Amino acid sequence: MNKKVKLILSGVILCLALITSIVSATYLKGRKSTPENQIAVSVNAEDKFISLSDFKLSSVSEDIKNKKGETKHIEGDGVLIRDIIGSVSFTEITVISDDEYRAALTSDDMENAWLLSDEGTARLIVKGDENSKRDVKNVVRIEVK
Amino acid sequence: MKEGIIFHGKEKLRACFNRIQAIKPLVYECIFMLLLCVAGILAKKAINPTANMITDFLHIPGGISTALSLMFPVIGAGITKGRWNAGIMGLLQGISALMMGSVGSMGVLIPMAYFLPGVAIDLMMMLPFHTPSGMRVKAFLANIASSLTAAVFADIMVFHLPATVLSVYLLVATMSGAICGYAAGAVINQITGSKENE
Repeated sequence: MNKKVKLILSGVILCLALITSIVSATYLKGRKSTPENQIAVSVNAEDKFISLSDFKLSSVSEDIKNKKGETKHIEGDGVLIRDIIGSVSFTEITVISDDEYRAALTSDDMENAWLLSDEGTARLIVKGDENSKRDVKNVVRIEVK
Repeated sequence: MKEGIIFHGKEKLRACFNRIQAIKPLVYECIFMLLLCVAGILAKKAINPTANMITDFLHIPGGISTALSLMFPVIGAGITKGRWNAGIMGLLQGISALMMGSVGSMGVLIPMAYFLPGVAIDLMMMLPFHTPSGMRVKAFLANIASSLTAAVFADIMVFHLPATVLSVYLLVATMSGAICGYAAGAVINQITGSKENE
């Protein structure tokens, strides 16, 4: 009896592994990749690749809340999201990290949303935020809608 | 009269001793559950670098190490057999994680993120399978259910992933839960000394 149960459970694990592999492969194949050190800016489903070095960076200094709710001081060079998207009109901007974590920005955030250069990657910080929900590390994509 | 007092004193002492004897297993259970909570957090911390390599490759925000840490409440619930023990352990694990700074992407929501999967474990453990094989099935299902609950909760509260990424994330969480649940079932039967071929 127990051998049969073990066999069934092992079979279920194998099936799950197979399904996960197929779905993962399909997802990875269809995923839009971004070249290293670049960020894809998508406006009306049209992609344009930019690099932070293309912009004149300003010095940014801010106290932000980390995930534990503690205040942490960060300093770095960055550019306002507003300067990256330019004069494009939008209702919402979604900033997406490499692991698909995403944060939404509205027109009210344009004076406070910065993209910082962070150890070779880009990091979003929004000045004045009460929590770290919009602290996005390793930003690879900005979708403007 | 004097004898009566002595007798009364002895009775009282015996009653007190009996009470301690009755509490003793409960205390052991609590210590055992507490140790499992800490072990779960430490196991998660230990496996995180390896798990992150896989999740980074798949471009998903997690799903593997949580299944491993949830294996410990499953083992605890399977061995102690208390009705809501996994929920309590989940809550303890969440508070421990918060205190140890192992909060991942959940931040201050981490106690809830452990409590709900704990409740999922408890619900699965209520399934009416009372044989050692049944316990294996229950541990298997409990780990899957708890991993899925944790993943769904994280997605609703933090990640808001699009459908394609979410499907990969949930499948990875389910598979990790299944593997850990299989192991948890074996551990429970080993510790409780249940005969494998009943």
